[in-house]
Amino acid sequence: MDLKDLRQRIERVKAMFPKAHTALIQALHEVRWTYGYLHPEGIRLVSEVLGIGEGEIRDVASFYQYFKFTPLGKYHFRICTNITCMIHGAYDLMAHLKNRLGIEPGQVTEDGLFSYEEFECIGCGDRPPAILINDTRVEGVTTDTLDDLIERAKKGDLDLSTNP
Amino acid sequence: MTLDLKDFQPVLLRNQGKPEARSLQAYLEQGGYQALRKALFEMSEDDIIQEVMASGLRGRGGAGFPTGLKWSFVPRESVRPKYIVVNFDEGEPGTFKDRDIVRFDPHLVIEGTLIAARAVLSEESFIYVRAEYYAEYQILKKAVEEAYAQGYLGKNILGSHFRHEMHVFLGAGAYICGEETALLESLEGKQGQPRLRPPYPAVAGLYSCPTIVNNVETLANVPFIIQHGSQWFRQYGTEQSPGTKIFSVSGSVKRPGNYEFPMGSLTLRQLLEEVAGGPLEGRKWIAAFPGGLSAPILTPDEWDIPLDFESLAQAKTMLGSGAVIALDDSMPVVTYARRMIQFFAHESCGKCTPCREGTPWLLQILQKLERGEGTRHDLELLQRVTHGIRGQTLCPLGDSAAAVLQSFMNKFPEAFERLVQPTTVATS
Ligand SMILES: Cc1cc2nc3c(=O)[nH]c(=O)nc-3n(C[C@H](O)[C@H](O)[C@H](O)COP(=O)(O)O)c2cc1C
Ligand code: SF4
Ligand code: FES
Repeated sequence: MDLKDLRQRIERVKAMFPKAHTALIQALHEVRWTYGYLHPEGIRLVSEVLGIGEGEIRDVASFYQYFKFTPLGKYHFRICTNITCMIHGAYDLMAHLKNRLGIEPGQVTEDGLFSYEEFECIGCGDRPPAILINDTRVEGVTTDTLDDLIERAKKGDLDLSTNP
Repeated sequence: MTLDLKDFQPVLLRNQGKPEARSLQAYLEQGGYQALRKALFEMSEDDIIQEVMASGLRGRGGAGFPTGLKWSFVPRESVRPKYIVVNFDEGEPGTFKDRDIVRFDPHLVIEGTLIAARAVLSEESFIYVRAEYYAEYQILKKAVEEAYAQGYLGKNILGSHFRHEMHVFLGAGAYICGEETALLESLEGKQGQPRLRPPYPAVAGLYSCPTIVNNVETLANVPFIIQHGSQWFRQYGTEQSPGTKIFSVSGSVKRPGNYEFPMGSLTLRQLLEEVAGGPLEGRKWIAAFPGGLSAPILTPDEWDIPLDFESLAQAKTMLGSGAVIALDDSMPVVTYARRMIQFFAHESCGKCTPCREGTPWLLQILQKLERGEGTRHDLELLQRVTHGIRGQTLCPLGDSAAAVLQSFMNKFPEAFERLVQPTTVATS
């Protein structure tokens, strides 16, 4: 990991907000985007730059679904199973991932590539069922879509920068 | 009521489906930032607040509080900084309206925020974006950068003495952070737990300073009201619910999507049948949430109800965020109820006991019923626990969970009864 780069990004975040505490959650996103989760090294950097104790940081972070203290897969699937997606087969997607990846929600595949979790509504009821892979949404998902995404991720050609 | 809205042109969704309309240039070509100009050079703070009050605009985030009145609570003479917070947390399941406003008209939100800032003499604002909307977060950040570069943000806006800084903040996945005081806690770098009120944010909000929290759709209405006047705004909607409203329609419908209509101009049935095209092929509707997962359900016999704040309140439910979710007969009633409670149990912030303890308990009982292992005692327990939560919670989250579950039990008693094992008579 390039710690100098992460430190710079945290310092930039700090400069963008009027108070260090207001920058905290944004700084933790930088850590998450760097390591895929809140790596202790990243928490220490945030603590140093923002002048907030590591204990306090962990306590605050534990409240938020996006902040995890253990590694996720390089590709983390958030599967919305809220009512609209449930009507459109979201639980089949959960079952398919379990079969296909051979892991339970919250676990990581041995190669470190994949993990998944059941999620609440992600604001895509117009194209259900919808999921997020890392921060990118994929809509109108079928089990075939999942297979395709997994294959592409394995080959390293999954583009996660697509915006609406 | 027959549906005759042929002449109605969407206001807030005028650019829906046109990503090219989101640039500052395109916004200016549509008359953008003219309202801000008017607010800066032709109106006093009081004029702006009076105009918004006269429009009758009510908050679109769920509670329907009069926007002008909220702005008037800010002590303008106070020397403390004043803040505007834009609520773009949009966590209410089924809601995706603010997403499309930002996606296709981000400058409309920035302009509305600037007018609010001008009205209460605020020099700094925050847009709180839910983490799930990373794409829209990027769109907003870009729009804010454009606005800075062209002198719509920063010092001496449009050559006036008015200055304003705007920050875009990415949340981290917590529904409760849509509740305005929890949102403020989150902005202060804490866990997102609601605050006790009073004091209200307008008096002591962010960093204990006067703060206006408004929903994205609420603020998107403001430039139109300032530019065209409150009477123009009132040509749409009802006396008590003026203006247009975006309805996010999802669930079992053939044409899900965002639809904007004048408030009260159509019924729930018309929206679901005529606009959204009826239930999914081969299915039958059994009920609908009229205003997100927090709004008690209505069964199809109750759907001839105009979609506005007061009609839905009369029917003991609410317009909420305007998210209409239609349920069909493809799943058991108790499965819908369980999934609804699962959401609230997961999102309870844990600050007060009835909600923290009650919602997971309800979930356990409903899961037991779903597995076919429920007893009559479990049905009584459901009643007891919901009564124990109603009216006993610090914020509306816990109360909504209980109220919505009660609406399921009241409207589908037989669906619950059917699941419990017949009482076994002890044989000796
Ligand atoms: C549990 C809960 C969640 C809420 N979520 C949101 C939300 O996601 N977006 C929103 O604008 N308002 C939400 N609200 C309402 C806000 O507390 C607040 O009333 C609103 O942001 C005020 O803006 P308005 O007057 O423009 O509607 C929520 C309220 C509660 C109790
Ligand atoms: S009702 Fe629930 S969400 Fe609201 S403050 Fe209490 S525990 Fe938190
Ligand atoms: S219910 Fe799945 S995106 Fe909203």
